[in-house]
Order: sequence, then C-alpha cells, then structure tokens
Amino acid sequence: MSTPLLQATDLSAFYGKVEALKPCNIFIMPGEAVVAFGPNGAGKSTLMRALMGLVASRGRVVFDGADIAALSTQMRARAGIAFVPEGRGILGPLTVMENLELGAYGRYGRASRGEIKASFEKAFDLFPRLFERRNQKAGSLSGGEQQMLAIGRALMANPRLLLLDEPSLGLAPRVIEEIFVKLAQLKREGITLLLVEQKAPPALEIAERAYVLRTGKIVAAMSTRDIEGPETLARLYLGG
Amino acid sequence: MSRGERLALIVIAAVILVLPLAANDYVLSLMVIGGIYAVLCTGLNLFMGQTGQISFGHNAFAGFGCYGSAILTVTYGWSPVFALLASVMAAVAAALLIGYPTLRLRGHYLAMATLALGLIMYELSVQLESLTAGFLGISGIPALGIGPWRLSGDVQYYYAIWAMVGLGVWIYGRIVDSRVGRALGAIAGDEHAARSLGIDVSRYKLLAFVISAAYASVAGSLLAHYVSYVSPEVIGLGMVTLLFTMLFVGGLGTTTGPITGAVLINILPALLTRFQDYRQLVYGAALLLVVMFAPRGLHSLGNLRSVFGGSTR
Repeated sequence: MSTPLLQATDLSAFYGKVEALKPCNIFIMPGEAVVAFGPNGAGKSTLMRALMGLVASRGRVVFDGADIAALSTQMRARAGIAFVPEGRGILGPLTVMENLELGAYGRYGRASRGEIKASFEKAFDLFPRLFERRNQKAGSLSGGEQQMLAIGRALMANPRLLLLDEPSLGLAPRVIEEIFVKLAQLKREGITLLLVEQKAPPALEIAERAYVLRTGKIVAAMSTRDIEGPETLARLYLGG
Repeated sequence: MSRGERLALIVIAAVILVLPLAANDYVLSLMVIGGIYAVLCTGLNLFMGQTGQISFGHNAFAGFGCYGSAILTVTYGWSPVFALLASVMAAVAAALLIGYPTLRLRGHYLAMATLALGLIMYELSVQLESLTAGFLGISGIPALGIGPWRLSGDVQYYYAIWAMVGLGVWIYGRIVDSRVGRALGAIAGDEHAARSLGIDVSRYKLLAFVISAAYASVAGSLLAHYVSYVSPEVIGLGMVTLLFTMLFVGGLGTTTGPITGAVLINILPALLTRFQDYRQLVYGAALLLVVMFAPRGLHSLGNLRSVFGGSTR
C-alpha cells in the first residue's frame, strides 16, 4: 500500500484562544479526491487553512514524506500544495495573464521558462475562456470565470495537492457542473484534490472518500460509495 | 501602468517642461515644493497604494533626510550630494530595523506603530539639541550641488527637482510593472491568498517599506537644501496630514496621483490665502470628501456617477 501524500495527525487550529478545529486526523492518498463537508461553522475552511498554515495550529502535518507543520504558508506552497481560497482571492485590478503569472511565483528560479510556459498552456487548455479573456482585468470576469481563474492560477504552481475551499460558492448550477467536470479531469491527470463543500452532491461524484465535520470536529470518515442518498447526507450534516 | 496613465504622464511632463516660460518665481517655488512632495508621495504610494499597507510615520524618514543633510553639511561640512546619500542609507537602515518587527502588525496596529515612529522622530528632533538645535532648527543649509557647482535660482531648482520626480516615477513604474510589483499587488489584494501563492509577504512588505523610506529621505534632503532651513515643525504630524491629503486627493495606487495631488494641495493654500488659518480644516475636509466620494482621488472624477449613488470602484 502506498503512503499518503498528506497526513495530518492531531491537527487542531485556533483563532486567538478559541479552538476552532478540535484535534483531528486526516489523510489523502496520491491521486485521490477527498471531500470535507458539513454545515456552516463546522470548521471545514479552518481545516483547509490549518493545512495551508494560514491559522495558528498544533499537530503534525506530513506532506510527501516531510513534516511541514513548522513551515510557513509560502514554503508549503513551494512544497507543492496549492490553495484556492473561499472567495477565490483573485486580483481584480490585474489581468488574467498577470493573475496566472502570480500563480507561478514560487517556481521562478526553480522552473525553466519553458516549464512555466507549459503551465500557461495547460491552464488555457483546461479553461479556454481564460485564454479568450487573457488581457481582461480579472475583476471584470463573471463569477464562474473568476473561479476558473483561481483554479488556473493554483495550477500554475504545478501542485501535487490542490486544496479547494467551496469552489461552487455563489455559482449557477450550470457553472458548478462545468467546474466539477474540470476538477474530475484534473484528478484523472493525477492531481490530488481536497475539497471543502457545502454542496455535497457534485463533490461526492468526483471524490472517493469524505470527511464530515460538525462543530469543529471530524465526526465521520467514509467512502463516498457509502453515502447513498439525500437522507444519508441530511443525517451526516445534522447528526443523529 | 495603464495606457491612460502613460498619456497623463506625457501631458504632465510636457506641462512641467514649458511651465517656466510662463510662470513667475513664486509659482516656480510652489512647484519646486510640490515636486519634492511628489517624490515623497510616490514612495509612500508604493507602500500604501501598491502594497495596501498603512503608514503614519513616513515623516520620520523625511526627517532622516532633512536632518541628515542639514547636520552633515552645516555641522560637518559634507558635500550636499554625499550628505543626501548618507541620509538615505541611514533611513534605509532604520526602515529595515524598524520595519522587520513592525510590519508583522496589521491594520490599526500597524497604523499606531508607524504613528509612534513619526512622533519619536519629532521628539528626537526637539530633544537632541546639541545635534538639531531643538525648536530653533538648523539654518544655512547649502544649496544642492556637486563639487563646487550649486543649484541657484528657482528655475534651476525647478528642473532639478522635477528631474528627480521623473526618476522617482520611472523607478516606481518599473517596480509596479515587474514581478515584484505584482507580488506587492497580491499582498494588497489578499495577504492570505498571496502567501498561498508562495509569495514571501513579510519580505515584500519590508521591501516596499524600505524603498518608500528611501524616497521619503531623498525628499527630506531636497527640502532641506531648497529651503536651507529645517526645524521640528517641518516633520511633525502636519506633514502626515499633508501627505495623506496629497495621496488620497491625487489617487492612491495610481502613478500620476502622487504628482497631481502633491502639486494641487501645495498650490491650494496660495489660491486660498484668505482661508490660511483654516488650512488644516480644508485638508481634513478634502480628505473626507475624497474618501467618501472619490476613493481613487482625481482619477475617480471620470466617473461622477459614483457621487450620486453608483459604485465608486
């Protein structure tokens, strides 16, 4: 059996003195898609932020065999973890190209020009609309296009693990479908995915395993095949 | 830099170039001071506009320039250019030393820390009488020049100062249009997102702080050499209000904003001599109106709809 790409042990996270994420254990195997879902305030985004080093945390985080718990966020990014934050975090005043270029920031000096150019091509292949709008200000894009840009920008880092916080947030159903088709494609290409989602159904279609969070705790871990229908989902969300 | 801004810069450069043909010495002297503040505001714009940070303490770095040049030339007989360069180095060293711990703070805390920095510099300029002559200030600061040659008269100063503005804006433009500039923009947009992209946020914030401190020090030195006098009032809290008004009225985060803001706000008191006593009130009101109705300063004027309830951005 192969070793996990990411393994967090006794990981807890804090906002000041408040423990927003109780000690939890998660792992993600290489090439796997995992979804963390649960109601508002369950600690899903905090889990993501703790893995990325964006909040104060305790516990062990091993990525690709190395303990990264003491590393800063930018060092985790350079180690191969890309993060698409809730709200996308795109830079409205910059063009699509400039936003994408920022995604490769951690690779300058380590990757050749050709490799970075190949990443641009890969992002444009995945989202041809970004190529059409490459010289447009990112702030003028639609919500769906902004999400595509956020994912495309994360891919510019050539990550091994892609963390996505609520990629469907605020998007129309048709656009959500389009985004998840692309995420499935990324998974087929070998990128490991960890998604946080409130809209479980589309995420469950691409994920092999799921973690359920409630009030800052992981309360269940299961294969997505075991989640049979809306009743199971409702029970997992609400408990009982 | 947008095409519109490039065009605006060309227009500004053309006006600056021909102005001495039509303007008298008084207007030229106002333009010299306006140019000096434009240098200071351009640097501050890199830290506040481009990087999205806040500083109430750049008067301290201007103080390094003012007092550095004054003390080194008057007391120690240094050449003005070397005094200017030494002052910049001192300001850069101080910015590195102060910025490293201070820039870990954000928002109000950073504002308060930088405010304290300005207040400390002011107090030092008052208290270190043996060096600064306290409230009396230092007079007789020689004109700027290299070797035996000195700038003389407003026209020479005018072109020299505006050449410095040009150089300052060019450097600013090069930074903003570079990968470093985009990293600074990413920090301004969303610090967490910037970190997640692999950007060393602390390092770049410090870099912007240090560069802007260097601009402030150069401006301080230019001011000291032009006015040939420096006292604590020059670098007091009034300077902070002035810089903020210039920057916000001109347009925070724009290339031409610091220039137009500095010139306009510097000329304004001359246009409103009858209201001289209310100068701080006018600055405060201008700042309030701009923040409320035109967050991008004069740049927002193209979109007057915002004043009447539309989006301001």
